[in-house]
Amino acid sequence: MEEISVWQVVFLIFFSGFISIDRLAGLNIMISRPIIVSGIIGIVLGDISAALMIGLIFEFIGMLEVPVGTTIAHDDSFGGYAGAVAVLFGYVRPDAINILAAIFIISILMYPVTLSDKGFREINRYFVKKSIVNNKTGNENKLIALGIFLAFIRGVIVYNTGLIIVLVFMSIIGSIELHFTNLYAPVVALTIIATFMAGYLLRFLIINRLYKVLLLALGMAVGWWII
Amino acid sequence: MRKLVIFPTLLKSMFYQGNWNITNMQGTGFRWLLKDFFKNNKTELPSDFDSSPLYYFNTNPYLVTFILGLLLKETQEKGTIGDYDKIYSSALAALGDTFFWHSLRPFAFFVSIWAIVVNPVLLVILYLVVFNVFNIVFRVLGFYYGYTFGANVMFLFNKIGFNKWSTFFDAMTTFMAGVVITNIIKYQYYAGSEHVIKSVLLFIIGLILSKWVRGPLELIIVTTILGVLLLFGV
Repeated sequence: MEEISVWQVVFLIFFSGFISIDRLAGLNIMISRPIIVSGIIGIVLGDISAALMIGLIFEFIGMLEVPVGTTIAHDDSFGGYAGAVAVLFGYVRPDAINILAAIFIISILMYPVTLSDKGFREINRYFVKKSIVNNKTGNENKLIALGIFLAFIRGVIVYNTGLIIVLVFMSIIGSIELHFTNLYAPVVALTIIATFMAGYLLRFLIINRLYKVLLLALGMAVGWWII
Repeated sequence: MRKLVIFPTLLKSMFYQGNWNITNMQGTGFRWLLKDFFKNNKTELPSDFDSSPLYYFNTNPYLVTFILGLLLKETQEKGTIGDYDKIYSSALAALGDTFFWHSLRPFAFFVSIWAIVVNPVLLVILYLVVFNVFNIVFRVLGFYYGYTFGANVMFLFNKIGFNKWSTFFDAMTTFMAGVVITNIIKYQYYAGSEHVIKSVLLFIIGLILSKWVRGPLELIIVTTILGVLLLFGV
């Protein structure tokens, strides 16, 4: 496991809060996409390629959920965050079973993390209702600032608590001698997941089914024979 | 085109979802933006404007400035905003969500994924640039076109065929997905026809499963299946 420096911890604390703001309270400039989260963590912590490998998986799963109306999409940002940090801190050994275990644990934790998104909305609602009770109007500045602050705090607390849980589980798994056939190298395991996810993605896109199949086939032909 | 003061409201529009909640959605933030935009453009708030804390509003965040522009225009001409905020927020939410969330995100991903071969840092930059070009352009032009077209702003969206943009972007994404998949199989995975057959089978399973499961559950199932495959050395 890598040695963790103070500045790395400080960066992660601020970055986790920033991700949460981009996701819930403002900006919406896509800093919170798993591929960007893992990429930035990779740049700062020194191994962007390894970080992106795990970020890609959560990007695939996250891009298919559309936050329409009151729908709250699963918190895929957490996947990119916890996955990249766990890999770069050396808690995920570079073999297929360790990578799969990390993805599995993070995917389960995405549910309680998403629940905190809902909790954040509820707290905002509480403050709006409080305004009604107090018959306060014109306090938008205060409510918005409070919301942004809460989103930051939520990111720092929830993402890092989730991260610690992932690290604990991964160190336990890392200490167990598993006798799985290591048939697949990590990149192959990731490729398989990516292929699987591509099927999922194709279903999600809205163009006509026949065109979709033809375009995909054309793309595959170009990918195989030309590039 | 009239000279509008947009910069302070443009910055604030980046944060107007700060109080997003399931009672009045973006209502608090939109009230905040509207007051600011009207004040900067020396226009009194309309007499029928609902300034209560329960004011309800929800739209796509990237298109909110169109509504601000059109409400300013209607207020200056008629002195009231009527139901324009409600009508246009729903219409633009449908258009914006389909394009920005549904189509542009996968598109930005498949456009930038190629950079991983050249320089992974470029992937991050390219993704952010591709997405945010649309984000910024729509936010800035929204003030002006909303103000110019007023209540007829939907004509603009019809004129540029905005509802078809998603189809076009999805078509490009599908093509690029095909290129990426085969490229990965060819250069990372290919070791004979057996691997191609396995990939195709997983691809079909992905299609079938996607009908029933969404989000992390998909990953939980995938990792479990792969774990079992590893266990038995398939």
